[in-house]
Amino acid sequence: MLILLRQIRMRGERIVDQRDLELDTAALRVGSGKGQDLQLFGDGIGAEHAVLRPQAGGRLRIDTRGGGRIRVDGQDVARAELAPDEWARIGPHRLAPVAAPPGFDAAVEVRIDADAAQSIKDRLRSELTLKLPRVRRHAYGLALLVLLVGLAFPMAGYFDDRADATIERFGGPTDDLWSSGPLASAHHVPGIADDCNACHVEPFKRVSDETCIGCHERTTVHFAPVHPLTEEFDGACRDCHREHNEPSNLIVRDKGQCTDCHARAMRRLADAAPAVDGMPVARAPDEMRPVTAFTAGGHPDFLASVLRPADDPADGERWRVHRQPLDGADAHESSRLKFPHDIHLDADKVSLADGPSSVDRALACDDCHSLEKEGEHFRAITMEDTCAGCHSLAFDDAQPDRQLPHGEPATLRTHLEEYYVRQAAIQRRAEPPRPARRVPDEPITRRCEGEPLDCGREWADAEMDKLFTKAGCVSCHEVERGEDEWTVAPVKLVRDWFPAARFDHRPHLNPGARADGETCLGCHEATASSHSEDILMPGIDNCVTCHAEDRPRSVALQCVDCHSFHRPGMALMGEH
Amino acid sequence: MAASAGIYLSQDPALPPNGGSWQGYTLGGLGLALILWLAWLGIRKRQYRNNRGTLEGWASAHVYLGGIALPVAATLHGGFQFGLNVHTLAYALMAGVILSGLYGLYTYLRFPPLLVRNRGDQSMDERLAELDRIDKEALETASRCDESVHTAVHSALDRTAVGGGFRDQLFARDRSRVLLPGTGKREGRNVLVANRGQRAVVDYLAQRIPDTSKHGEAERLRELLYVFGRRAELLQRLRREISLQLRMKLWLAIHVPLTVALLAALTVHVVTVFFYW
Amino acid sequence: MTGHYGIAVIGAGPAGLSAAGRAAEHDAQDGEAGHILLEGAPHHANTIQRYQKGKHVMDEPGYLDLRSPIEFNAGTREAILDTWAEDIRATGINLQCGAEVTAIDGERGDFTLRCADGTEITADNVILAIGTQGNPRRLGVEGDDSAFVQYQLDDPDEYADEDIVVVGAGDAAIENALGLARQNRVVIVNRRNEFSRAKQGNLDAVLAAINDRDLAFSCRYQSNVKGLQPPSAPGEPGAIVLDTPDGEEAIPCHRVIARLGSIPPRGFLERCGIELPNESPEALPELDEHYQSNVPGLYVIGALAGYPLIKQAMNQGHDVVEFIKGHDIKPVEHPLLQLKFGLLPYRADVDEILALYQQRVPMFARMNTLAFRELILESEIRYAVGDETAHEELRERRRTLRERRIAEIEQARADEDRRRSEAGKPPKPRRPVEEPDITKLLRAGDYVYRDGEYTNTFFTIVEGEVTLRSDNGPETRLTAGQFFGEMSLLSGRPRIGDAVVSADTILIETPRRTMVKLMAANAEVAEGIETVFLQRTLQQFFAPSVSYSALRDIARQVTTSRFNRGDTIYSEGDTGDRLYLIRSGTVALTSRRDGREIAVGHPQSGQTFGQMALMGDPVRRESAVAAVRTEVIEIEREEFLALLRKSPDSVPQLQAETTRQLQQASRMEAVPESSSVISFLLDQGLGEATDALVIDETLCIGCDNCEIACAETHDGVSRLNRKAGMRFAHVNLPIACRHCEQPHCMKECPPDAIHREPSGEVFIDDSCIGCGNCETNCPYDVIKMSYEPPKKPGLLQWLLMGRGPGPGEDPLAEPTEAAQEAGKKAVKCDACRDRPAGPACVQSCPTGAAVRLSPADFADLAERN
Repeated sequence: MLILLRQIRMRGERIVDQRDLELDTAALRVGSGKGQDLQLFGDGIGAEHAVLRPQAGGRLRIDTRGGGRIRVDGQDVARAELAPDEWARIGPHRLAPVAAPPGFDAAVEVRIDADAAQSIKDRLRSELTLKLPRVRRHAYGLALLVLLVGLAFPMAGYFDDRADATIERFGGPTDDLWSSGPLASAHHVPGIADDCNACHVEPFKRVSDETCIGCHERTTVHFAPVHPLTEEFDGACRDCHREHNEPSNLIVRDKGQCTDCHARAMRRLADAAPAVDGMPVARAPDEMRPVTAFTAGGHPDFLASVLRPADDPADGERWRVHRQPLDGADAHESSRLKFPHDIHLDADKVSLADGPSSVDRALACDDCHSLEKEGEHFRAITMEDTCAGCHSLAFDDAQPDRQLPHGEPATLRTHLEEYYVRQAAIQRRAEPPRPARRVPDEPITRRCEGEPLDCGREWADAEMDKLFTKAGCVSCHEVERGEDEWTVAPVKLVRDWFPAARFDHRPHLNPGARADGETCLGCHEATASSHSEDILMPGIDNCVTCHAEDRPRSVALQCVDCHSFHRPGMALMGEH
Repeated sequence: MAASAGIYLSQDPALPPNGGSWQGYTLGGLGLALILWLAWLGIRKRQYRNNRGTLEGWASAHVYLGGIALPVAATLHGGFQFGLNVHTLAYALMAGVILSGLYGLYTYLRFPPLLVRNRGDQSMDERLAELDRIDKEALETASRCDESVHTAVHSALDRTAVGGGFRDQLFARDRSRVLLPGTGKREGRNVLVANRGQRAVVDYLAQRIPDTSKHGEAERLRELLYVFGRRAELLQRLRREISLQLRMKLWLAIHVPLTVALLAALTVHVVTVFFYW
Repeated sequence: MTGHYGIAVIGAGPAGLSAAGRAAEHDAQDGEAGHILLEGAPHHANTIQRYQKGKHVMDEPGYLDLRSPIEFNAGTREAILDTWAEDIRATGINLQCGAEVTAIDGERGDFTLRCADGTEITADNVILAIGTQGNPRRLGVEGDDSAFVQYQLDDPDEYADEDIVVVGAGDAAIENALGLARQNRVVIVNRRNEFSRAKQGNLDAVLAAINDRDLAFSCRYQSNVKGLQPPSAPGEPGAIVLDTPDGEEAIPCHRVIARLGSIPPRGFLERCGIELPNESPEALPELDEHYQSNVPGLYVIGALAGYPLIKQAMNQGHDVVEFIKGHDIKPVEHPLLQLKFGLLPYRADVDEILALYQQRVPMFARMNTLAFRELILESEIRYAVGDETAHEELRERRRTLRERRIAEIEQARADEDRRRSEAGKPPKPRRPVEEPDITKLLRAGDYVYRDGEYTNTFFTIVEGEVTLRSDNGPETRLTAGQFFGEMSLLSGRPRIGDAVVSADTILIETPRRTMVKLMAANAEVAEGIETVFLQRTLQQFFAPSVSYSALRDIARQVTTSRFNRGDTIYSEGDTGDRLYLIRSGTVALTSRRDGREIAVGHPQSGQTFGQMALMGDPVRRESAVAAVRTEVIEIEREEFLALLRKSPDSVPQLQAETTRQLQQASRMEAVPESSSVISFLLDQGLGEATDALVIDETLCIGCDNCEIACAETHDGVSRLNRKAGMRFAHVNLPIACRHCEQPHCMKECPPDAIHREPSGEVFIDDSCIGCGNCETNCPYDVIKMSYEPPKKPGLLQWLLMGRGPGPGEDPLAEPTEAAQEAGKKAVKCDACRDRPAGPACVQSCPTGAAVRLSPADFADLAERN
């Protein structure tokens, strides 16, 4: 197209001269370099500064090159499209599209600052200008990238599953990027590991207990989502169970979790009806003493849960759990069993012929007490398994394998009568009558003169009296003469002295663990106990010798080491 | 800093340290505040009307807090838990920003004296002016010399390169070239040869001097010799100046975009952390 | 043009026009043609005609009302010239242009005025209003009055592609020639063989231009104009014939521009029989209170009477005619003086007070009453009251006076506007009423000034007592008739010691420029102040314990001498017989060490040097060169000993000072590098700086924050240029104001717009009229003329969107219409006097490279790395 290029050299506001140039081109090259269609000198003009392209409607498009700039109404821009008679500035000069005179397709008027000269700075401009990266552009570029990858895509995925699917298909960024760390191994299960929303259900809401319970109420026995016996407890699963926090096993053992509340004394809820093994707790202090740490001062003394028979006989043979200090006036239990530990552990009094090489030795704890697998409790003590070895139930030396039935006083008399009636009958039948046999510690040699039935009865009666008053039942049991028959008070041994706490004997059974090399007796002073009422449970002072948090070189304990929050197979914490 | 370390250590050993604990939040908040404050320098240094504190003070605070306090606070906030996620991205960006900043510090300490030495007592503008002057001289003298010399000189001036591209500027490379009469089989043709440090043209002129016949030609050639010698010196210093200037400014062109990206990453970090709370 | 007139006014400047206008009004009443206005130039108000186009003319002083039939308001040159042309017609002034009066003789009632063209007229009274410009010196050859020759160049860009010969070697000639050379072929003709009269800058520029091959600019040295060949037809080139060393040369040219300076009117006045007080070519005639010279009937008004401001001149024009007509009216400033004396405990009226004061103060006693009146008008009256209640009353009185005055002015304005509207004229543009200048009140014991203040006003005691205290030496009590403050006035140094006023004291505080004017005009005053200055200086330095009046004789003996920059005061190896006390400026002490000049010291004003000569070592161990224009007091052995005799106790102090100097010298000798830095600074004229910006290049990271901050804190125009700064070693000396001891820019500021804060910052206030004097006067090119730049988009917009040019000065900014209308104004560094955080350049330097320092700190800077 034919362009009229009108160059007006100005000095200040005065026109110095003017010359017109006809160019038959579509693009007009402007710059300070040689061979430009319009050569302009001056500050800020590159060798090849810009290209002018006349547009329809008398407009003019300007595209700068090599980072050059033109200034349109005060703004430095890289490209612009000028309306007719709109002026743009190139360095010190100004130009605008003007109405094309007849015969021309377009006309551009350039007001050239006549004083602007080609200085060496312009000559070397492109070379001298520092080739610095475009800070603003890069900044925004990077920021945008980060926002897209980090936020936009995953967010899209979150709100729109189809988008999520597509993104995932192309390996695009998903909300995996948001994970602040690997899940605990327990949660490496499909449905959780691969889906954040399995737990993060609602945005900007912390993971709720419901979400956890959703799976977990069936996974553990006695799983109790809420803290027992309180209402104001606002804790949630996540307080103790931290996810995305490898290599931890989910559980926060920090004692702070408990002591935050328990550092102050608390009252039990009124309606709490604790029980141990189905037995109601009769005397439990309704106040919980403050706990700050497992130290002599920071933790209250232990309360043992001992069993007592119901006070009023109306309750019959019902037992009550009494929680009481280990020392003090009524620091005794009442299992109604007579068992002096000291005698049994005294080799002079009681010894055991061990095996064929019958070398006598003293009894050891584990001769009677055998630990259960869980390491805390002991197998129940029974007559048959534990005592019978020494305390035989034979009553007639002549027939030592005749044994009394244990634990059934009701059948005892019949049992004896049957035996003695038989004895009498046999005596009467013996013709010629045998010489009367002398019966130990009986004044006279017994002879059945009458009916064998009567003799048998009489003899049985005598035997009963002996068992319940001299030796036999009475030596271990509390017996009493009912209106027509002897009775044995029922026996109940405490199985769990500290139901609220867990204690694993196994690590403690290492003799090296104690200075005196003792294992059991180091803590349970059985040798000094002459009554079975004695409670041989050690108190806290015993534990803290090794486990005080505030002592150096001691094995500090966190609350959950003894008082676990959820306790599979055991009563809920606090229910006692 | 000590404080943040203390907070960090105060964390319960039973659990690996992590941004989630209250200590974590504290450190995180601290780090965030620091970063925002540090980034604010970009604004502050342009608030020329602001009367509070000298910029020098701000800058040095920027260096100390950004170079020492921030990395400590942020690292402890992260509890050394890294992974392929936006959180670690933010951390990486921060590390980048800090490193670039430290490099910037180095340049600011190192280069100004070099610039001074390079400038001598002549400012860049003065050098350019001198270059301009002696170029004119050279052309003027050359125009009175014979044709081949004239073309050589002319091309030497024309094809003198000071800066050129980014790398040339950065390493002060000399890509000057010159058009010289060819020798050997290229006899009779002008060939374009490299003209590093104006050596080619100087050599050429030097060779010419002995076999000059025209009256005064030798003198003019010597004149030219001097000019090109001087040019070489000027250009060399100019290049060095440019290269130093570039190095001194370049780091900022990395520092700033990274900072902006870091701000973006931080937003992502904070949003996502609470989005999946 | 002949005839006899009652009043002949010579010179159609503001004064002349106003006078003629008033005369014309009288004539109109009396119905006679009794006046004539003669103007040598082809048009009225020649000086203003010569202003560049569109120049804004101020109507200072604002406090003065205009009393003249000719209208005058601040406005553009064109507007004013038009109104005046209009008023000339309206009032019917009998204006004769091109009538240059060459001689006046006769006396009242019978004056004969001879004009250049030979015509004569007679008059009863003559009013001289010819100004001080004088007439341009002519070529003095045939045809030097033709249009071919110009004695004035308003706009060099008016001419393009012409051959132009410029005759003259002064700054004016050089500037014109260079301006023209931009688009013309120029030959400059110099009578001598070098441009010795030119300023350094112009000298360099013209030499560069002459040596520039690309510029059509050449010079003819040792050449005189022999003749002219005016063009045959307009547009055709004519020619100028020169008498050059190598014979006669005719240079064809389109026009000749002759800048040969001007002939001051002194000669003309003397030919008219008017006596002048002193020998200086600028001397002004002495007049009585009716502006009448010693020749009865010959009146002098306007600049020639010492009133350079247009409004004053016009008022005089009005008044003088009234006086001639026999009406003894009060001058327009009378009420102003009343206010100035308003609170003083006198019953007397203004003139009596003036008379009283004049005879009270010996120095003013012999002054011409008009001049004294003027002095009081420009001064402030300060009144210190002891009694608190009295003070309170006076404060109250002051308030009422003020309100009354303001009310009066508003009333007057209202009346005039009414009259104008009746006459169908538009109402005058007004500026807000200025604070009336009423007696300033002080309390007894107040400080008139404090030690170290950069004030330079001059105080005269007309009643009461003032005590001068300085930390060394006793208090000096000054009483009525004595004056103080001359130290700062003359040396430009900050105040030394405090001045405390006692009860019932009345002071006249006179601004520096007024005093300088007075001293130039009145040798006696100059002399008197000079002596006291010397006495006090001597007292301060050598005999603190002696009262300064006792040093009178010695003061008369010592000599004061001036040295221009670079002059040698003495050189190494001389035998000296005197010590020097620097009065103003700075001296560079250098000594030769193995062939190198090493700066060993740079004593500044108020310090002594060379005293070793009088303290046992007569041989000068160093050379003393004036680093800037310097004034020193020379004290020879005799006076020195006399001084020491008077106060022996000051010897140790003097010795201590000497020791200190020697120590410094040795320190600098030890490190030639640092001393070379100092000599560089001194070479750059930093000797006279009080607060210069210096950049330590080893710290500078070239972020340009200093410049940007400057621009941002000074509405978009940076006052400093870092890149263009002079560099030496690790020091960069940016182009920025150094706040000189005696600011060159301050002289010749028509609206007195350049001031100095007590804390020392030199700044330009809004009353700048953009005349550019300061720009030319500044030897360090730190003042530039610039438009107010347009508003820029906010910082954040630039930071985030990259909109606008960003912070700092925008080189491509185009001034708005309004800005162009307002014209360019002078801008310079004001050391951010109003910023609490101090100079922005220093505050916003991220590395602490930019520092501001005074000569005292040079050593430290030099010793940095």
